Amino acid sequence: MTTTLVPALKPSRSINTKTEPTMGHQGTLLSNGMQLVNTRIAICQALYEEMRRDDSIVVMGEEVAQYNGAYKVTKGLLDIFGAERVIDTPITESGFTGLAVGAAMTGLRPVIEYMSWNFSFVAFDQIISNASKMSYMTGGMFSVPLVMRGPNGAGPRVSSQHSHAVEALFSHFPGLIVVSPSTPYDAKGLMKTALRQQNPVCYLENEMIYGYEQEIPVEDYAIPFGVGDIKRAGTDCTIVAFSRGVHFALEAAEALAKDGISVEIVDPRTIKPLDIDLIVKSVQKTNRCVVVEECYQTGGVGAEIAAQLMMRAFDDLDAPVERVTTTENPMPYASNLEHETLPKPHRIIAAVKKACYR
Amino acid sequence: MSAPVTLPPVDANAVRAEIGKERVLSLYRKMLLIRRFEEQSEKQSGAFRDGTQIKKIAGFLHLYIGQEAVQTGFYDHLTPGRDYTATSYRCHALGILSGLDPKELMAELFGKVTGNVRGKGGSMHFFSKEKGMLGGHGIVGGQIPVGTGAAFSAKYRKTGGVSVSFMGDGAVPQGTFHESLNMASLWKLPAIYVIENNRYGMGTACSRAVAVEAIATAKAPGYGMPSFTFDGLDLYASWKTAQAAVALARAGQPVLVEAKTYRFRGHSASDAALYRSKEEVDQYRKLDPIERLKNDLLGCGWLNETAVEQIEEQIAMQVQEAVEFAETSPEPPLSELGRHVYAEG
Amino acid sequence: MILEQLFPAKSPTMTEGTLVSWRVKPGDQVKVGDVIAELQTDKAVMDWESSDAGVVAELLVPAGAMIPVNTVAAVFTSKAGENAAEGIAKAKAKNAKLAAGNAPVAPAMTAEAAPAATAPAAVVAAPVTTPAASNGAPAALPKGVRVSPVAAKFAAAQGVDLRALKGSGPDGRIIRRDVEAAVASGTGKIGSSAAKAEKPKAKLTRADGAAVIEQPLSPMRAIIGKRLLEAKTQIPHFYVTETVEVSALSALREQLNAFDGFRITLNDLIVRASALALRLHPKVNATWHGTSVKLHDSADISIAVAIPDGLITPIVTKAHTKSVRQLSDDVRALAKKAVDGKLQPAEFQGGSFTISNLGMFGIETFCAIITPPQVAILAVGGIKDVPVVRHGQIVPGKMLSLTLSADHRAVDGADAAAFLKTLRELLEAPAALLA
Repeated sequence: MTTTLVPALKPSRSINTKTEPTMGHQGTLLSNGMQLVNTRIAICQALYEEMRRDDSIVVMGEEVAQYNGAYKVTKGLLDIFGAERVIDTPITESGFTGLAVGAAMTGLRPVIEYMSWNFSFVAFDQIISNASKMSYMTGGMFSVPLVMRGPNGAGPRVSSQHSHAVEALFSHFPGLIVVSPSTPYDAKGLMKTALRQQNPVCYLENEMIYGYEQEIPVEDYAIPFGVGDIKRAGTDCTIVAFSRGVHFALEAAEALAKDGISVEIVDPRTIKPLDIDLIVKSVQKTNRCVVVEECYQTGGVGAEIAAQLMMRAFDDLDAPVERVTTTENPMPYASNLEHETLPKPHRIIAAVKKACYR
Repeated sequence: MSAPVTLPPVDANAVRAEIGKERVLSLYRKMLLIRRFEEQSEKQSGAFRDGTQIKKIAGFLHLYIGQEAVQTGFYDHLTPGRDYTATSYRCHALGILSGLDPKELMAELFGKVTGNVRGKGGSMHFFSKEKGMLGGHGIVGGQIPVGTGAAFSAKYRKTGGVSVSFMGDGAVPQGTFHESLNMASLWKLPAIYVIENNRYGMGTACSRAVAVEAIATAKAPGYGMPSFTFDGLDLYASWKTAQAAVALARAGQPVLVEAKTYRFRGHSASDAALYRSKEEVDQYRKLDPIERLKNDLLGCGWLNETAVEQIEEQIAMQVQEAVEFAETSPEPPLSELGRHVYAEG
Repeated sequence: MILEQLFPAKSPTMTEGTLVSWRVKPGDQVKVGDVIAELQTDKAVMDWESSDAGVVAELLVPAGAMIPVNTVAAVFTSKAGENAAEGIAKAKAKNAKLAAGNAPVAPAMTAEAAPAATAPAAVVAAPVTTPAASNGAPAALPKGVRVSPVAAKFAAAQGVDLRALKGSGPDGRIIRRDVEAAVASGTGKIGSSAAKAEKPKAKLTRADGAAVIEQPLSPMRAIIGKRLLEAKTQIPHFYVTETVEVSALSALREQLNAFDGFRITLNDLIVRASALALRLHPKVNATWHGTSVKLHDSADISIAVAIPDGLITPIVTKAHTKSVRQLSDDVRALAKKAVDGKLQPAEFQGGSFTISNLGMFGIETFCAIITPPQVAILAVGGIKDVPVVRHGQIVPGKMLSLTLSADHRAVDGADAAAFLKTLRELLEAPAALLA
């Protein structure tokens, strides 16, 4: 389906009935048969619905159960599914990640939450040496149906050690799936797919978009990996953006439209696998491309996309591919410095204008 | 339950009787097969494929020689398929004990498509989904949380299974060891952690890497766990300890076990072992667990020289067949290169 | 393997040139770096060095032909004895296609107005543009021309000659919108300018029966015309004339030339004097850049040299650092190269000031046109024997007329006059020239 983006969305009239999960988050049922949810609820719904369907799913992580999740994504799940399936772990990322790998190898389908993906670095060996390689180094004997999820990218003013975006980092490793949704609709559909397949998935949320709302279907749906989505159609310049970057890009696109520049926003939704076909198709139309990401520039997702465009769409380019990334410094605390570090709309606008020779 | 237990030397007659003749002879065969298999792999690692400069067995080759009694004693209390095991890169013995065909294991060492993991893992990565063997791990301590996860899974699915995570003394300082023991104890997982203290983490003496000498005795109380320490060069001690540990784990009580053992070879095939004296090695060689068991069985009359020779011959033939199988097996086709990066289906 | 030899662009502005002579013939073995032909650009005759190794299969362009850059001038095979027939046919077809594509595009006209028109036969006659490579990728453009990939593709599809466009992107990169604008305005439509180049030499007859010979412009002539028109119409020239008494200078010249190997000309001494004067008057030794003026420390003096069908200005670089003898040798060497058409672009591009000397023709005075971005040019006339008053006596003297043309945007009258005053003082008391 084509998605409509919020927060500016005016929901259809509420009929004041809540949708499931009834003990945790609830969507609001609308008169048009859709439900209004925010990203947080959308993820929780996906977990809830799949946990009801498949009792091999367990949720574990720091504060996911009694505390309802540091960011309330798992709110209500403990009450519904009990402590056997919704498990508070000690602060022991390496340990519970490895434990989840072992559980995934032996018939379970764990969902582990990193309170922040920054903390996944503590578990790097388990993610890389074990989760990502298990299928290959066992000749396909074992698979690791594991979902690793949590907020990724910069939170508000949390400085150096809590602001990493890890799309590029984990995309580097064969064997991992990297999902980075930007909307409630995508978040739910991609989580459904993550919970129905056999590979380790890095499911990267973003704290800043947990509250964004959108009308989504009440009925079950899933979004396949590797299928991108056009978040805004345009003709002059393609912006490839994902996660929070989509929202920065949308803001930039509005401003650029006033200058007569029509921007097309392609959201690949999954970084690995990457829907390069959709990106190429868009660039063939617009001849220009700006990649927006919260990762660093060196070896970033933009680097990969730019390189692939060189191979796949060289003759369609009217300008070099521009990249708007987090600047190459640890995240500073100061408000003004943080603003300049992130790939905010003002930097996207400048990059699009440059690509359009304006 | 949390009082550390250091087992006194076991009463060989009693344990032997408890195990029974057929079973103990089978354990003797298994230990001997492990030994001969590894000796043969050590030999093959020094050879090239005919007419090439490609080594028949290359990469790392970490030999278990000297430590056979530990995993043999433990595995005898496990049920492949229901119970789980995980170990370090020193994983040949566990593969054999899990019941995997020496042919597929040797073929794996040879990098052949008929190998245990299709020639993609080599010496450090033996696995069996069917038998519940979770590897074969190349990062020190990396297998401990994986083994813990299997215990979690067994408990969640109420299979009655236990999970034994083997590790060297070198893994004890790793965070994963402590993180795993902590979670296992918190959640009462059917998990057994066996430290095979062969006195050296690669070339570093354990006393230079681990702050306490009696590892299990000192560490277990910190995780609210019972512990056992035993003579890892004695099959009977191993078997008895395993019996107790597995029983506890099946009842939902994780256990920490330390086997005082020794590896007769270097850390890996390329290690000249200059960090320890020849006298020390010779001293331990006199305690060779296979020789001790053989002498015990000869002494009690369950074995005689003829039978010993027969067994040796049969095992030599089995190993030779494994080598021949490995030699004649094809290499993986290049189409294997990109297969299994992601799960198929 | 077939190796097509595409006629190369040897200067940034070169779009076509003359294949002066072939230095190889079919059957010859060629190594990378071997000179395969001499070609004339809009500026000079240059060697065409092969970048392929192979065997010459066929030369497709006759010596003396003027051809657009990118024409397949020859076909090589990578190995001897290789069948090149197909490759040659393909190359010919490519050239023919270009020729056809470059023919005047006037479909409505052909039926009624040009019944006897035959397509221009020579593949060498028309400018060639991008659609050369068989895979649809844009062909190489003249060196230095920047174009975005999609602009090149679009131009090829629309039949727009990129050489006719001015890029609006960074560093003059031609981008998609430049091609779109060209399509909209009809600029650079292939064939629109080709017709002119197509016109053969023709003997016409005036009404009164007198013969008129019409000559198509050589590339150099066309460029000279274009540049001088721009300079004369766009630069606010003004002129300052000074006469200099050069008896002492002539005497000095004679003394110097008495030494073995010295062949100092009066012009050499004027170059030397100008170099020293320019160092004292940097506003004259300057270049104009629209929003800025660059004052040059170094006196890099362009010397106008007449060559067949045109003129060229080789540069004596750092003239202020060179002795009279050095200058003399440099100027002579450069002039010879210029006449031989062997100057390299670096030897005639740049320069901070120009001297043009027509004294050898005995003319008294003339005004020269500034070569932008320079801001001044010195026109040197001939020496006239005149009576002069010295110490109250009328004595024979030698007068030389110098006229400085200056760009009033950068140079004021007083600047020009002050420069000429210094120059006169140096030339009248020439000992300083030897310092």
